[in-house]
Amino acid sequence: MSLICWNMLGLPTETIMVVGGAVILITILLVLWALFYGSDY
Amino acid sequence: MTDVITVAIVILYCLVMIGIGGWASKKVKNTEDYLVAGRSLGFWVFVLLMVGTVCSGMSLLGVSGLGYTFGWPSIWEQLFVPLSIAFCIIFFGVKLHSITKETGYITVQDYLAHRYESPLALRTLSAVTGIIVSMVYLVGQYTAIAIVLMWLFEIPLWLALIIATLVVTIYTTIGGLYAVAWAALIQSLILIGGVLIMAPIIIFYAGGFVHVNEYMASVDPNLVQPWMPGGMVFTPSYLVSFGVLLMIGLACAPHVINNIMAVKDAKLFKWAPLVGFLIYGVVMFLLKFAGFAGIALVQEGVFSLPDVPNAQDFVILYGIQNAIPHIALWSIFAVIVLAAVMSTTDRLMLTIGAMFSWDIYKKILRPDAPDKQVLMVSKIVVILSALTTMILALNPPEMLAFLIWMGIGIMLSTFAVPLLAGLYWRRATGLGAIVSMSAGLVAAGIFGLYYQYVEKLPLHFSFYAVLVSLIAMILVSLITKPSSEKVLDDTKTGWFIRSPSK
Repeated sequence: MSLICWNMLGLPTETIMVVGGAVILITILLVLWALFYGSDY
Repeated sequence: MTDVITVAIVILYCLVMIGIGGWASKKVKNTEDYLVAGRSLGFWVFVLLMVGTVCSGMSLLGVSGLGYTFGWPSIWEQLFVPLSIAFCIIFFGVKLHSITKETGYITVQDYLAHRYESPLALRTLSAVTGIIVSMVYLVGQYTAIAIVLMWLFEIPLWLALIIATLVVTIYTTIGGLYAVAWAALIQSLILIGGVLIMAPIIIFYAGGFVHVNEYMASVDPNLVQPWMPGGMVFTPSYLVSFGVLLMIGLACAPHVINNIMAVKDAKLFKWAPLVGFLIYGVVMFLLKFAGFAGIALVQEGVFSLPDVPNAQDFVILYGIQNAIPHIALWSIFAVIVLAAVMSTTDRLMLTIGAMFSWDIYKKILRPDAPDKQVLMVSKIVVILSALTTMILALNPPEMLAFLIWMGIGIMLSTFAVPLLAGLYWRRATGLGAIVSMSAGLVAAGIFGLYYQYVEKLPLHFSFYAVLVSLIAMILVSLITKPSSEKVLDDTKTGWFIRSPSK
């Protein structure tokens, strides 16, 4: 179904959503790590 | 295809590396300077050392090759490998560095021996395993260097290997981790800058990102899916095991995790996971996209790949050759690959030197050996490891790719559970760690051979081995006497990443 749902990148929406979502999620988690890691070392 | 500019660029690069070794050698006064750079690494040197250590030449050529073969379902490699840097820093690095500040560990084997109260058995087992796996890895790296030099200069394999070995061995032997870390800084900058320029050129040459994706979809719709709908590889379940292998297996590899001991200040662990992930992620994604572009270029008849078993690994080399019609620019790409290979090779050689001279020679064979002698042994082992693997690379085993995957699988199966359990589970015991490590090692061999020669498995073979290692750790630890409370406290063992404030 997703194969017919093309977008500007020439990719199925599912691929954009899953791969892009994973990149954004990991980036957010690592930013949160940095923000809450603290600096009392 | 050799010309004066090409030779000059490669020679200049090699001279800069040797120059760094000469500069670094003046800073090496003792074994600690040599093996952990006097624990002096700052933010950028550390982050780029991690990137350079994880990014090998085989992975640089192989990333595009895998993209060429499997398309988008293989894109997860580009998340998992950069994530191994973040995983290593967060789950191993923060706590190990904190303990190291009080104990002065040189290698990860120091930690295992201390935490599991096993100065002989576990240290020997983990050091010997680490040396064997690193040697396998090294053969693969030297082969990659040789492929590039042979492609560029059309010189025989033996000459390519001697040149490559000589350069890496000189700067690693004289400068130790100081040289390796500062060389990695330069090498990673070359790698990042080079890939940022070269990969888009190949993609545009193939008609642009959108065209490449649409072309892949027209060849096979599965090539643009986030995973394979069926088959044995890159299915969702396979990707889970692949993710564990790359993210945790690389994170606990001795040559990666030992970088933690050289960090100057724990404050840099704050942003290092994100920065390492993003820098390496961008490089890896671009290389993968270049591999995708190769599908369009080959299918449209722009070039064809050589008739060799690992033809897909040549896709980026041929892509560059066709997209950039100037020989001098190819040499810049050759330097990029050399930089990627050398940044892993030097770290592996130094790690082998450290595991032998420190863990086996100093801690087991000759505890009373003076520091200068240990330093000398380190240097000799670095040279010997280079010579041995160079000879092995002269006749690379046919199953080289299998051996390299086996190497990462063994790292995961042997080191992941003892390290994670040691750091986070107070009930993990010394015998549990020894049995877990041995069982993981044997299981990796059995499942790996079964996967290679009997039948494919739905998950990566290392996943089964790490499960065996985990079960062995839990069962044996629960039926044996717990480690002493003092050691558990000294090694900050417990379900936390940072020690609770006292």
